[in-house]
Amino acid sequence: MIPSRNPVSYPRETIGAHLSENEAMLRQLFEHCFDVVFQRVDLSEECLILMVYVDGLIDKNVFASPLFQSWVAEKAGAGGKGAVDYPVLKEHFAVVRPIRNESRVQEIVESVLRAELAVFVDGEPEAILLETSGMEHRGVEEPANEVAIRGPRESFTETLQINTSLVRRRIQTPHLKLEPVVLGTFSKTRIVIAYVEGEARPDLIGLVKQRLAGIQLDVVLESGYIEELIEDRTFSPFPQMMNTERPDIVTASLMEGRIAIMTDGTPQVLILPITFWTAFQAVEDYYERFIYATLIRWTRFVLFAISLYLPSLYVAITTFHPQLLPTNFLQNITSAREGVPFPGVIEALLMEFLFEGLREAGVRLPKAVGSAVSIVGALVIGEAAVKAGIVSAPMVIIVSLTGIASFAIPRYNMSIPFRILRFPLLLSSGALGLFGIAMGTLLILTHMARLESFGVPYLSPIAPFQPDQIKDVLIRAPRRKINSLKATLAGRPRRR
Amino acid sequence: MRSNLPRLLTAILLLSLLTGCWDRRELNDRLFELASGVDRLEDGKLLLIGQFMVPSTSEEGGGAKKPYLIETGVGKMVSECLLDMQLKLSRRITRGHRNNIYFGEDMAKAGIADLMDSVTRDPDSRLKSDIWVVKGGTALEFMQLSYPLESIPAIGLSKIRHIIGKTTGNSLLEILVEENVEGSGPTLPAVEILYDTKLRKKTLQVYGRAIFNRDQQLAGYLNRMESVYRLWITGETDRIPITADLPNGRGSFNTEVTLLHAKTRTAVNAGRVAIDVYLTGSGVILESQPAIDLRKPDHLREFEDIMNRRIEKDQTEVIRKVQRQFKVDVFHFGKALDRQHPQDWARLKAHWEQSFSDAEVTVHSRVKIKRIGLQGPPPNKP
Repeated sequence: MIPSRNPVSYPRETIGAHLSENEAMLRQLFEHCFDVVFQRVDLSEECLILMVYVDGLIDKNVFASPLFQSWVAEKAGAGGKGAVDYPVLKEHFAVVRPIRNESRVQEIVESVLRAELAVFVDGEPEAILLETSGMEHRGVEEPANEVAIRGPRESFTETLQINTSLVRRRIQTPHLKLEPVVLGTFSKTRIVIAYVEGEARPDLIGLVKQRLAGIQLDVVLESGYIEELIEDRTFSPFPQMMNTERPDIVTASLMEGRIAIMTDGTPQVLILPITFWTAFQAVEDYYERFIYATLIRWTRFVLFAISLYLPSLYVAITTFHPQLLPTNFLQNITSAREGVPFPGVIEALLMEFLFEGLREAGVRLPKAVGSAVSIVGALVIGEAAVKAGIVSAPMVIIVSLTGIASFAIPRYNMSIPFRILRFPLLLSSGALGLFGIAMGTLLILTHMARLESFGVPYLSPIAPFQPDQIKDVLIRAPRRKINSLKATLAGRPRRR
Repeated sequence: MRSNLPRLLTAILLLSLLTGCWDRRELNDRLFELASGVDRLEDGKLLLIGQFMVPSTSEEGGGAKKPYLIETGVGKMVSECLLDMQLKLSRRITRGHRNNIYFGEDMAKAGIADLMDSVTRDPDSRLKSDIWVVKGGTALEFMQLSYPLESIPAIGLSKIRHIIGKTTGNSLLEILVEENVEGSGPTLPAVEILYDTKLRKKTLQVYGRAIFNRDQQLAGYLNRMESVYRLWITGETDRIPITADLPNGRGSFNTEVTLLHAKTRTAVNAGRVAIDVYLTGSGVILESQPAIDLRKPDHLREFEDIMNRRIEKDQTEVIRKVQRQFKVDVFHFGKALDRQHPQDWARLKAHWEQSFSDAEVTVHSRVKIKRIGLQGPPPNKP
C-alpha cells in the first residue's frame, strides 16, 4: 500500500456486534459528509437494521425491490416481535444484487465510498455489502474531437464500465484481457489495462504493469496524469502515447498488439506504444478505399512539412537566399514587403505568436464569443495590419497556410510538437538561413531517432528500416496486401 | 541526458560564429540587379551599368512609376565600378538575379577576358546568366531602351531567347566551357537596337551570334540564319526554317525542319583535315507557292531534293565564312577530331586554327519531308 500523505486513522480494525457502537463509529468517520446517509430501519426492538450509503452513487431501486418490500412488510406484520432472521435477510438481498460479508472497518468504508450499500444488523459482527452502483452518467455520444465521415459514431464516456463494454462488444474473445489497477491514494481511480493475449508482447505488458505499479499519485483525474508518469522521455516534445475517444481506434490498436490504458472518469484512452507515423494515420484511412486513403495520407505528409517548415523557409529564402526565387515572384514579394518596418524573422515570430494566441483564445471560448474572436482576428490581422503596412501580405498567407496545415494532422497531440518546434526552427533560420533549417532538422531527427515508445523505436519501421512493415506507413496498402503485414509487436501475420 | 544539454548549447552557440552565416539582409535593404552592362570608355576605363528592380509600394502611389532603375559606375576594374555605383544607391546591390549581361561592341572588340574573371570570381554573381553583345551599339544605349511587354526589359530578352528555342541562362557557362576546349572559339548571343521607321520607335531584336577569337576579342557576327545553321551542327537548337526556290522562277516553298540531328565525321589525309557533316531532320511544309501537287511522291521527292541541296549550300557557306573570316572553330569540329583521331589531334591541336581554316568541309543533308499540310497544290492554282 502506498503511504498516504494524510492517512485515515480507523479507531478499530473490525466492527463489533453492537449496532449503535458501529453506527457511532461510522458517523464519526463520515463526519461532515452530508451525502453519506445513515438509514435506520427499526422494525422491532430486536430487529435493528442500519443501512449506510452515499446518496447519488447507489441505485435506489434496491429499496423498491419486491422481495425487500415483502420482507419488511413481513417483519412489520409480525407485530414487532422476533429477532432478525439474518440468513434469510442475506438471501433476500442476494437475490437482488451480488452481496458479500465484510467485517473490516476500512474495507466497509471504502466500499461505501465506491457506491455500495452497507447493511448492518444488530448482533452481527459483519456487514452485508451490496453492489448497487447506479451513478448518474453521460450516455454514449458522438465523438466530439475525432470526427470521421465514415465509421462508427460512438465515443467513450467518463464511466469505465461503459468504456470497457464498448471495447468488449467489438472483440468478443476471452483473449481480450482487461486487468484492473487502482491508482490514486485519495481518488482510488480504477484503471484498466486492456490488451489482447497473443497479440501484445508479454514483455510489453509486463513493462506497462511495472511502470504503472511505480506510480504514486494522490488523485488521478485524467489519463494525462498516467501518461506523464509512464512515458519513456519526459523532456521530449513528442508524445510517446496516443489518446483517443474512439472505441474503434482502441479496438484496432489492440488487435495490432498495442496496449490500451482506460481510466475511470475520462473518455480519453491511452494507447501505447506508438511510432511517429501514427500521427498520419486517421481512422478513416481504414474505412475508405485504399487509393483515397493513400492520397490523403500523402496530403497529410505535405501539410505536415508545411506546418513545420513554411515560415522558416520563407524567412530563410527572403533574407538569406533571394537567389532561389524566380525573378517575377521575387518582384512581387519585394513589392509586398516594401515599407514593412520589421525584419522577416520578427515579422514571422509576431504573426505566429498572434496565430497561437488566436487559437488559444478560440479554444476555450463559448461558441457565441468564439466567432467574434475569429472575425476580429481575420479582419484585424488579415486586412488592417497589411493595409497599415505593419506586416506584409505574403507573411499573412504563410502564417495562415501554416495554421491550416497544422490542423490537418489527425492526432491532436501529435500536432503539438510541430507547433512547438516551428519556433526554434524559425529562430535558427532567421539566424543562419537554410543552413539553420538543416541544422534544426538534424537535431530533431537525431532526437527522434533516439526516442523510443515502450521499447519501440519512434521512427520505425522507417528507421530502423523494416521493408515488410511499411505497407501502412507511407501508403495504406490495399487490405488484401496488408494481410501479409507482420504485426510490429506480435511478430505474427495479422489479419485485419 | 543532463550532461548533454550544455554541450548542445555550446554547439549551437558555436554555429553562430561561422562566417558566411551573417549575410542576413532584408529584402527592403537589397537592390536586385537584373541586368548589367559593360561599356568601354574612350580613356580605356569601364562603364558599368546596372538595371535594378524597383519594388512598387503596393497598389497606391501612382502606377506611372517605372519598375526599374538604371545606374552607372565608372572605374578601371569592375569592382571599382561597382563601388562607384554603390555610392549612389541606398540599398545593397544583390546580383543573384542577374540573368543578362550586355557588352557594348567596343568592349567586345577590346576583349572580354578581363571581364570574365569578375563574373566568375565574385561569389555574388551567378553563373546562370546570359551574356549578350550589343551589335553596333553600346550597352548603355541598349539598357535605356524600354520594353513595353515586360515590366523590366531584361526579363523580356530572356523570354525572347526562351521562345526561339534556346536554353536561357547558359551562355556564360558555355563560354567558360568553350574557353577550355582547345581550338574551339567562344561565341555569345548578339542583340541589336532597331529603329523601326514605320512605327517610329526603337526596339530590341535578337541578331544572332557574336564570334570571338581565341584572345576573346570580337571577330564578327553570324546573322540569325547563320547562327541557326551553326546550332544545328552543335546540336543546340530544335528547329530551323528553310526557304528554298524551285528552279526557273517557279516559286518558293518554306519548310520547318524539326528533330534536328547532326553527325560530324573527320578524316586526316596527308595533313589536311577533311570533315563530313551529315544533317538529318524531318520537315513540315508550311508554305508552298508553286502550283505543284505535293501528294504525288515524285513532286515531293523533287522538293526534298531541292531543299537538301539548299541546306547543303547554305551550311557550306556558313562554315566557309567562319573558316575564312573568323578562323575560329565554332562548330566543335576539333572536339570531333579529338575523339575520332586522337593521335592526329595531338599533332594538329597546336595550330588548329590554321588547320580548321584549311579543312575541307563537305555537308550532306538528308532531311525528309514528313508532312505537307492539308492540301496538295495551293488552293487557287489547280
